[in-house]
Amino acid sequence: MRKLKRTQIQQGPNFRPAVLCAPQLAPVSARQEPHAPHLSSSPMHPFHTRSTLCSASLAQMTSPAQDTVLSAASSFWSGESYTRMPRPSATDWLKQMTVHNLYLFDRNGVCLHYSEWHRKKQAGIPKEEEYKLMYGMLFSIRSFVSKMSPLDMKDGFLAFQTSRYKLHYYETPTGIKVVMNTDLGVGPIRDVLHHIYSALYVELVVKNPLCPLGQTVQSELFRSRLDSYVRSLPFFSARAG
Amino acid sequence: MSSELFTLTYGALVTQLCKDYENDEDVNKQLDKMGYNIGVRLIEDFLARSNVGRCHDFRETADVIAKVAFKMYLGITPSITNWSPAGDEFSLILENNPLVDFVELPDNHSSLIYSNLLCGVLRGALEMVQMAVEAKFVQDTLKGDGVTEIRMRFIRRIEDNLPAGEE
Repeated sequence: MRKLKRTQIQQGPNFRPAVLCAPQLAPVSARQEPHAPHLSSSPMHPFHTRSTLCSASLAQMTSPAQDTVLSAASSFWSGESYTRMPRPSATDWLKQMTVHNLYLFDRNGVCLHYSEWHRKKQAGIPKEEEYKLMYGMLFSIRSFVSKMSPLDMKDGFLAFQTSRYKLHYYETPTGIKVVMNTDLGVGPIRDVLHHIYSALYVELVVKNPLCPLGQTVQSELFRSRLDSYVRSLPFFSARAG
Repeated sequence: MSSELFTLTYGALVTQLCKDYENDEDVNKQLDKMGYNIGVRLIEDFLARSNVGRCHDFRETADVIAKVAFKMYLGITPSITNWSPAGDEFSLILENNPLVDFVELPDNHSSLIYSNLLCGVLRGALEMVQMAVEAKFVQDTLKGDGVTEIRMRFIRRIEDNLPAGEE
């Protein structure tokens, strides 16, 4: 099986698209690693924006003779500890978008709910401290953003993004905060977070007189409905992102 | 849902409270407490359904209460009058109160504030959006007045508290 894959790659342009679409198998990545240096250590790495990577992968689909581009792009991914990721194509970006985790806080900083779907790295601190850290950061960034805004504030703090994930934020006037970490490819999802608040939290927790407010939500119904809602989102991919 | 069921349910609630407590003042306090518990939850449902953002001042709050909230939950639109010079007090005038549709107060319950639940609801709901207010009935059709009037007074703004241990 292994040998067959290698032959396919080396045989020429017709087989490359097949390799791109095939699920990642260890032999393919094993082939890639010795070929090019890890891009994370090379000076080019910071400038490898998503667009250049996409165009690199598109280029390799059209002019497959560029072995260096192929291995450079693939080792970029392998250097990120994604040794099993397929070589990225334009459509693969959509498949890779996902939701990492979700926090729900109330106005006193109590973490009402936390769910995670794809989280490869934990914070390294106990969960209680993680919630406090998250809440404290949100509190500070909200007041910072309104203080330093050069124009009149409309909605306030909405999201921040790093090179690996994007944090989306939604707050109600009652202080309920919905925080969702997703992939970079996800655009504004205020309506999604509003739906989580109105159709899930309000319907299942607030309107249930037996659910006490101000403490972690124990309702199994809420947890499972939230889980199925997030899994049904268009930007949620079940494959580890 | 018919309003009759709602009115009759509320009436049964007040009657039971009167039997349990025997003292009008205690009943009023209980109604206020119950209203408060309703209000802290009702505000979330209100925000989820009405998409109203944060109000910038008390006048805007008064407008939202009268034109959006009362309309949404009781189907009536009270009018806002009698603003105090400082802008921190106003009156809600209710032409008709759906809670008291078939009610007449008997003589031995003259100090009972029948619709006191509404005051509790207003107080609880506004407390969750960082406003400490006082709501009380100053006129009541059950006591012979022409209209029902609720006086709302803004006490102070409740600040967000950072949880203990965060600096």
